[in-house]
Amino acid sequence: MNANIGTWKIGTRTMQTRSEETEFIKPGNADSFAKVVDTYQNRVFGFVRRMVPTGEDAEDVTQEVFIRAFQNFDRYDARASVRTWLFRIAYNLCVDRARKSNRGIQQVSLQISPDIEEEIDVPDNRWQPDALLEDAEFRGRLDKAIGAMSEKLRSVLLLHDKEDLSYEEIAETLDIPIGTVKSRLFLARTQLQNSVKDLMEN
Amino acid sequence: MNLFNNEEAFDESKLNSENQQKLAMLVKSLPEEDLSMSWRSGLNVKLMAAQEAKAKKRSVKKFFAWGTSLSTGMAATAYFVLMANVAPVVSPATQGDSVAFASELVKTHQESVVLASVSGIGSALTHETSITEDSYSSLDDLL
Repeated sequence: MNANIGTWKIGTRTMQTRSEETEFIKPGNADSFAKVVDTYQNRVFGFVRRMVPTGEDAEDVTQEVFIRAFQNFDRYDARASVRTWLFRIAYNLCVDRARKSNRGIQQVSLQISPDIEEEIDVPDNRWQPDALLEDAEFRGRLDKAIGAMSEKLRSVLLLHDKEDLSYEEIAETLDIPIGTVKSRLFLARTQLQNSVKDLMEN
Repeated sequence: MNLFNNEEAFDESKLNSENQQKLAMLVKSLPEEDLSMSWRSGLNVKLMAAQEAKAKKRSVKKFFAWGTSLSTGMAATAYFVLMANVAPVVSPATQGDSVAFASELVKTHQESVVLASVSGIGSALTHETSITEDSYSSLDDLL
């Protein structure tokens, strides 16, 4: 094992373009893999943390993501996005874990209720998401609402709105059509809106 | 409205509405958690174990690949050595031909001995000659 795997370095959350990403990716190279871990560990953890029930599970799954990635690193195609590759592994592991814990994959009804087009009546000058999230009750409700969503909706919501993946990248990650990505994103946001509407209006 | 039927033709403008954008910003602003150093330490240990397992697997594969090549080579060498030292095998069919040929030779020799003893050594008649003379005598008879 290369010594760099053992170095301590907390990854940064900076966004990278595809070319910057692939610059340091040399399939099969341990140094290169250490850089991948440094760069993506917190982002993968952030996604997994909201996909599995507990923080402990999330840490286990995140480790498993990087072990799986390392085992298949020789075969990694450097032309593909490394984050798409990692998020795909992460999503599959989260789904596997949900199945094993008898939660199963929740089936979501794609029927949109009539009230979903309702606007949240919050004046723009007051719209400060950071300030809203300082409120523990609001943050708790929001986390709960995201946790209550089906894996299908939650994964799309987190990958797009939190991790900034494009529709195409999400489609590639989850192996679904782009149209499905968009409709799931719309439904996820709508479901979220219904859960926190009263708090936002107050 | 059932989106299952309209997934491909989903109207993207809905996603860009003010309402949807507010929710997107809200999700984006969710607090982030960083992983601890002990988590990374645990990962390093697991990665080392994974690499060792990988190396072991590779060496077992290599051993089997070399073993197969070596045993094939040895088998081929043994075959050629054995083939070179074994006396040519005469098949029953070939053997039958040889026996017939030998008995034909013996028969011809015996006939020539008989003919020589009848007509004397100096005027040994061939089989054909005797037939011809037989033919002449037959012609005399006819004439």
